[in-house]
Amino acid sequence: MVIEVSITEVLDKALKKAYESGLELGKQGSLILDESMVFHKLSRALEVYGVVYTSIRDAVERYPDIVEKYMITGIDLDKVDNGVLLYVPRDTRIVDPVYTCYTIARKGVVQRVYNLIVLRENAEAVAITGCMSLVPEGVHSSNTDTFLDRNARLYKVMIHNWLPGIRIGSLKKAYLMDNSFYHDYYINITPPHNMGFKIELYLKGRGSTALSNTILVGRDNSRLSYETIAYLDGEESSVELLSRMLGEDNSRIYSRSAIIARADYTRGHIECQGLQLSSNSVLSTTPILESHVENTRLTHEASIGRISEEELEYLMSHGFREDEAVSIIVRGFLEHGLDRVPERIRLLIRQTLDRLVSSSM
Amino acid sequence: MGKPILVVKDLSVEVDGHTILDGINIEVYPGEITVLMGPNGSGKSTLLYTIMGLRRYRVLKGSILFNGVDITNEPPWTRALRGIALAFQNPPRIPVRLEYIAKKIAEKHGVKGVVSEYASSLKIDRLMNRNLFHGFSGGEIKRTELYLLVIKKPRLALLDEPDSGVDIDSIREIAHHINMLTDNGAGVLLVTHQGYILKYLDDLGRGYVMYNGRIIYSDTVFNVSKKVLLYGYSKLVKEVTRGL
Repeated sequence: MVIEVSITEVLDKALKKAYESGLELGKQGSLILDESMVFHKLSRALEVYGVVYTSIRDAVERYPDIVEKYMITGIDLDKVDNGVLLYVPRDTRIVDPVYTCYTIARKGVVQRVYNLIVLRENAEAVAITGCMSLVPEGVHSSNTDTFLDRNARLYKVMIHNWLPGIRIGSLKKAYLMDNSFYHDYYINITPPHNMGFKIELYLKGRGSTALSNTILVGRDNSRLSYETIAYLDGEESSVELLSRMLGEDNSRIYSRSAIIARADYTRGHIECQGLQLSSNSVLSTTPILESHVENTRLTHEASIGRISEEELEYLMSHGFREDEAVSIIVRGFLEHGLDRVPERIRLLIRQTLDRLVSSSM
Repeated sequence: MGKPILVVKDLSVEVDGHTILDGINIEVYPGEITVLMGPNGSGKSTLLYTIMGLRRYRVLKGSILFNGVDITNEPPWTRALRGIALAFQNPPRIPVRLEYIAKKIAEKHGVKGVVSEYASSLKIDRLMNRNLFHGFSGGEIKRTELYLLVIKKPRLALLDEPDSGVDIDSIREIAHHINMLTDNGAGVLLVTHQGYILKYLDDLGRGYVMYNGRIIYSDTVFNVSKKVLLYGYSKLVKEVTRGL
């Protein structure tokens, strides 16, 4: 028996799931379904100002100089299915977020992605990426290179909403030039079967700053491995690597954060906290601080614990049932660092966290 | 005087198999501060936790009536929603921002608009973005506990040593907010070890002294605190036995 599924039906499902995840693709963004970019949309006004937002295939043809100049990874683009280029010219600020949605819709598909984000001097952008699946089997492999020129500011939010049979491999590299700022915020709403995630931040410019917020939720039998390395190469550069891990069911989360100071007058801080909701789950965190210079200040704090009876009783005495008390502690625990996210994307993250906690309890 | 908002009748309580309270009788009236004094370990906090319904505290006999309703077997959240609120002496640290918890508590109790106002008057504005009780000073803990209590607009406030370990300015602020509770008609059961806060409080009613899990003396708050200061707790027991 052959079951025919129309592309319209799949597209409808993909768009529905994207909108449920808060990705307003119709405003400004793109949808990549399996190996193909189905559509992309950018405000005409931004195009007039020289902003480029297109598929990486199109970028290779039309903007080879940009791709060649700013690519960090050195990946063979012939082996890539798709991805996007976001290029923001100097002195240009994109106020509204640019949404990119990757969806695995065909069982067993291997989605190989390359993204390139370039913000020139004094440019600013908010890039929100959602990765999701409609079928419970597939592979998503992505590389993202980010180049932030002097005084550029990028807020990058990534929301993962996979199904249990999906396997993920992701590598993000970012170069930060003088006084640039990069805020990377990652949440997984529903964990895949297996995920390996690595971020490399190269703070090359004087006074460059990076902040990485990671929310990792392990459920069922998922295995999540997350690694962030920041190289403080520019004088007076600074970085904060903050992560929250939530261990449920039989999940395992391994988190490794490293800061390597190679320039003077630098600062770095690692904060990793884990909350274990199941005795069958495993949480592991490894903070690494390494200094090659005399004038740097590197610190870390890490803790893993359970919700105590005292915490639950305290909240119950304020009028909450036990399940509500657990939910408040989990939700509040995950919300850490949200006050530093710009107002225009805070609501999206709050709604994502609300969904995450309600599906957890 | 009207009807009591809280009546504790012949209450005996055990914790982890040890009897801590033995035949306690106490009444609290609306708009009035009832004071419970006693040395460390006498069972004062146990009484408050039992009235709140915390599950470690098992009632062996007796009853707790709130507004005439027997709540002895009710869980803590039901009691809280009836209007009973407890300010802990040593609340646990919770890895959640104070502002988030305050908002949730206000929502739960249907209270609007006063959350930031009370934060300002209790001078805890700058703590709102911090995780609850993480790195708070003694005074900050007490003021935050009172804040989370007053935003619920309780009908009965159980205050466990709100004056211990705090500076004189904080005591005045805390006392001011306790007076506001009784001005609004709430009944207050205040546990104090030393009684420093009493001189800043209005509407003082009955005072009780607890010793080894029993009420050994009861009179007006003025007389009770005078006797405690005069004799100290050990000598007061002897005086009471002799017929004060």
